[in-house]
Parts: sequence; C-alpha cells; structure tokens
Amino acid sequence: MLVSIRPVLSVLGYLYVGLAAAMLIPAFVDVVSRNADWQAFIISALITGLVGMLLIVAMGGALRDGLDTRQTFILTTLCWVSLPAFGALPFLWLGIAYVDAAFEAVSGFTTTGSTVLTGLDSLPPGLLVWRSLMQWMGGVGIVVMAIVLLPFLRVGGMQLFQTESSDQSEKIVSRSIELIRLISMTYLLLTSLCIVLYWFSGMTMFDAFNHGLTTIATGGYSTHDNSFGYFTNPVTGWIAVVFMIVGALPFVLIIQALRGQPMLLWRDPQVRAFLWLVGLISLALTIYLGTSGNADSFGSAILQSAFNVISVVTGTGYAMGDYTSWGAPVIGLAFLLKFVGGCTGSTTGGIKVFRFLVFFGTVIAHMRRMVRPNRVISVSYGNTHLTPELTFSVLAFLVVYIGTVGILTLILSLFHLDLVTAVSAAATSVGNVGPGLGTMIGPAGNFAPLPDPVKWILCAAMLLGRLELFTVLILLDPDFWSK
Amino acid sequence: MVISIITTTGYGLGDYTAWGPPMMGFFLMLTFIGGCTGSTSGGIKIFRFIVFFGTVRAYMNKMIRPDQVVPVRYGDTKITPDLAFSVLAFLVVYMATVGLITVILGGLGLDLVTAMSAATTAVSNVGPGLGDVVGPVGNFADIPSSAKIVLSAAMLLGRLELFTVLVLFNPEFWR
Repeated sequence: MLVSIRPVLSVLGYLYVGLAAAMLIPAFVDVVSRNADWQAFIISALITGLVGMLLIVAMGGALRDGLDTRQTFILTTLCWVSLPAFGALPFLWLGIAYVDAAFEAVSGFTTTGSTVLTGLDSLPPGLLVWRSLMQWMGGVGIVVMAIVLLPFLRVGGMQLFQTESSDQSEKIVSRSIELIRLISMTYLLLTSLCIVLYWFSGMTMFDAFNHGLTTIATGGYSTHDNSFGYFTNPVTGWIAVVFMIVGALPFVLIIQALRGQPMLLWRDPQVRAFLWLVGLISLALTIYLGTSGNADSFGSAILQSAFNVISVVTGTGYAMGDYTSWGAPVIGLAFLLKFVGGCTGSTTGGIKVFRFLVFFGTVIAHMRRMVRPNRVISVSYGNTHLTPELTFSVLAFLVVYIGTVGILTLILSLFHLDLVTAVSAAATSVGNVGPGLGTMIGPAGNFAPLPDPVKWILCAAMLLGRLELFTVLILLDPDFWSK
Repeated sequence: MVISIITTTGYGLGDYTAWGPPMMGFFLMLTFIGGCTGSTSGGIKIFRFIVFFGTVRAYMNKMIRPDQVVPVRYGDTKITPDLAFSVLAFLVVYMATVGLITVILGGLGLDLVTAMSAATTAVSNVGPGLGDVVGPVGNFADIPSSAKIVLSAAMLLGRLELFTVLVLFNPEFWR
C-alpha cells in the first residue's frame, strides 16, 4: 500500500484557511494606520484562502478515516514547509526579495527570530504585526506538535510524553481536538496577560501587542533594531524574563497549574532542572559582570544577565545590549547555551532539558554496569522507568543533533564564512534561537549580508531543528515510501 | 595533509589554515574522526561511525513499523543493543567533553575558534588547532598555563577513551 496523502492535504486545507484569516489582522492594522500595504495582505489572504478551500473541497471526506503513522509524519513536515511559503507572500508584495521573504517567514514560523530586515523602527506597522503573528502561530503550532503528534511518532524519546489518554491505536484525530482546544485557550490567555503587563509597564499599545505575541512564543522578533535595549524601564525587562520562562515550561503542566494543581509544575524533574540551570548561570554571569566592570549597577547587572541567559537558553533571541562585547568567556557560554533549549511541550527549540536528564541518567547507569557487569541497573526519569528503546532514541537524537550542526558548519564554511559565524549560524538555526555570534550575525547585527544560498541552507536548518530532525530524516529513508 | 589530520598524527605541510575558511571548517570536522580501532590513532574512530549509522537506520525503520525487528550488523557480527548503546553513549560523552572544555578554555580568556579547536585537538590527540595562536604555524606556548593544564587533562581523557577515566569518579567503583 502506497501512502495516501489525501487526508494530509485535507488537514493542510483547513490550516491554509486559518492562515488566510490571520492575514486579515495585519491588513486591519494597516487600514487603521492609513497605510497602503493593506492590499498586500488582502491579496495574500485571498490566494492562501482559495488554495485552502480548493484542497478541502477536492479532498472532501478524506479525513473520515483519520491519519496513520506515516501520514502524520508527512503532515507534520508539510505543515512546517508550506505554511511559511504562504506566510512569505505578503513580504513579496511589499518588494522584499524572494529569499529574504522565505527566510523571514521560516524564521517566524519556527520561532527562531533571526531577521534579514533592517530599520525595523521605520517599517510599516502591518508588516511588523505579521512577523509577530507568524511567530505566535508557530509557537502554538509547536506546542500542539510536541504534545499531540511527536509522542505518537516516538521521535527522539518523545514517547516518554504520551499522555494518559493516548492509546497505541492508529487514529489520533478525534481525541486530539479537545487537547488542542485547551492548549489554544491557555496560550491565548497567557498572551493577553503578557500584552497587558507590557502595556502597564510603559510600552506603547503597538509594541506591547507585538512583543506579547513573540515573548510567549519564545520567538524573538522585535519592533526595534535595538530589541529590548530600546525599553529602558527595568520592569519591562523583568516581565519579559518571566514570560520567556513561562514559554519554556511544559504546556500541559501550565494548564494543570491553572486548574489548581501548581505543585505538579514544581515536582516535574524537567522544570526543576531548567530553573536551576538558568538560575545558576544567571547568578554566575551577574558576578562576572559585576567584577569585570561591564555593568553600571547591581540591578542592571542582574537584569542583563538573567534576561540574556534566559533569552538564549529558551531560544527566544531578544537582545539587551550586545553581550558578545562582554568578553571571551561570555561568548563561549552563549554558544553552548544555544544547544540547551527549554522543557518539552513548550514553545522553545534546542535539544531540550529532558534529553539531558535522560542522558546523564543513562551514562551513570552505563558506568555502574561497567564496574559490576552482573547487576541490573535501571534508569528512571521522575517516576517512570526508562526502556532501553527510549534511552536509545534520546542518545541517537543527541548525536544526530550535534552531527547536523557539525555538517552544517562545514557546508557554511564552504561559502567563505569565518568559523565563528558558520558554527554559530548552524547552532542558532538548528536550535531555533535567533542571533548568532561574531560581528555579522551577532546580537547587534543581522542575517541580511549573508549570501543567498546560505540563507536557503539556514531555512532548511531551522525547519530540521523545529521538526526534531527525525521527522524529516525519516522521509528521506527509501523504506518509508515502500511497503 | 588530510591523512595527517584524520590519523591524528599532527604533521603540518605548510599553513593549511591559510587555505581559506572552507578548509578551516573541514579540518575541524576531520579532527573528530580518527583512524581504526586498535591502531595508534586517536579521535572517535571509524568503527563507531559505522555502528552509529547502522543503528540510526534501524531506529528509523522501527519508527515507521514498530512491530518489525531489524538487526544491525558490523561486518559479519550482529550488533547487540548493549554495544550499540555503548557506542552512542561514547559519541555523546565525547562531544560533550569537547563542549565543556571549550567553555572552560573560553573562561580562561581564549577566543572561540582557539578554544574550540584546542579542545577538539586535545581530546582527539591530533596536535595543532586552528586560529592564530594554536594553528599549525603557531604553537601552544602562548596560551595561559592554566589552559595548558586543562588541555593536558583533556589529552589524557581522550587517549584513555573517556569512560576509563570517568568510571574512577563514580563513587560505586571504590566500594
């Protein structure tokens, strides 16, 4: 039996119609601010909506049987490739080169936050809103993917997060709808809260709206070239810190906390490890900044450390000051932190904390086994015993992840990028972080000067990282397509 | 030149880092590879890569069809899950060690290229690194002495294939 992609196209049709509806928001913003760009969004919305409706009608009823494993793999990949393609349409109408439009849209939907646009402060408001909205939609898409799809596909150890209700049956559509609704409501609630708090702290309504969307999505698109360096009120910075952390926590546990069980959040091994990690590193960086004379006061040292550490670890990519000018130790640290990521089931990218926990557990068990080969030593995560299959998927993920960054570095250096730019661009794209290191793509620069082929490669890298590598790699395996 | 790096000999025929950025990236990757197990070269070693690709392939097959059993082979030997696991664990620990040493060296004030290539070259037992200071035409004399101590430890760790040393730090070993 060949894989039928009819139900896949049907789901995509609904998503395109939703995307078209979302394009009306920037159109509205442009109409209100009397900017002629609204036409670009209306035309793009018409094209996207029309394609979507055609797919729904043409594939009518194909979804009745649900999706099997292979169809879900294809759907997941096609979603993340085709939604940015349509999302790039408005940029094209506004006269941005195709490669830049594609890069900006992919970076948006994957919540990476690397940008090729300069002079953000003077760009039309509709365009800025569209960038933020893409990240916001990408953010919720990632949560849904991580909670509903990946555990089912058992990608990179994600089977650990199969929810209680998930059975091994091949149909996943119906039971997922309730979960998706719950996730979306919570996401909307948190975003609104973030926007209101930003507004109270002194941002304009427009800035608050845009940054609210991109903070909770741990995306990192800003409306200012200076990113968060533009906002001088420390309270604004701290609100961002809190909501970036919220964006990096497992969404299922946030939902349960809101339903009156906050202790579950604190007891989760991932959450604890994540909070300890960012806490300790921020503290160390504060001490370093204080002693090296890079900060004016203790208050600003602690805010700048916490803000930038959390921004890099969660893959948000906002910048507060150019942290690469703080000295060599900070650059090395920023590079390594790009690999970490937040908790599974959040909007963040990167390797993610649970994989590190599983990895440390297995290494310790492995060493014990080397000392005493006859003893049975099991590895556990929280209260769950880990099967060899699961620890294996986690280890394979780690190796493939680092291998991908290595190979990308090699490919990028073929385009005569220096080693720091190449390796940090590779790490930042696969980890969906945002800014790289070095003078060109560092937090103070942007990705515009890179050659066009490099931008395409980085687009592919961002998608690979977002889809947790194996979801894409498996499509390249000829066995996938054969009976 | 390529052979000198892969086999972790470390001879330099001219300054290959002057050949341009593609060469730099290329050599950093080569530094990781190493020759065959049982020979005198360091690095990760070819057999581990072969086992790794085999297991990942089998793993992907399992993701598509969970009920099928796919054995992994190395030459004529079937690879047990235990062996596949040790190889993967080794790969990850190897890369993590390089990463950690990079940060420590960065903390001692080396720039990123120097720190990273010094860490790689030391753990893999290659010899020269990249960049102005530790590149093939420079030498390691100019780095701070604390960094030299770190690198000495890294070379021993790499030569003893990591786990031999790490196991000593496990309190259970001494009981």
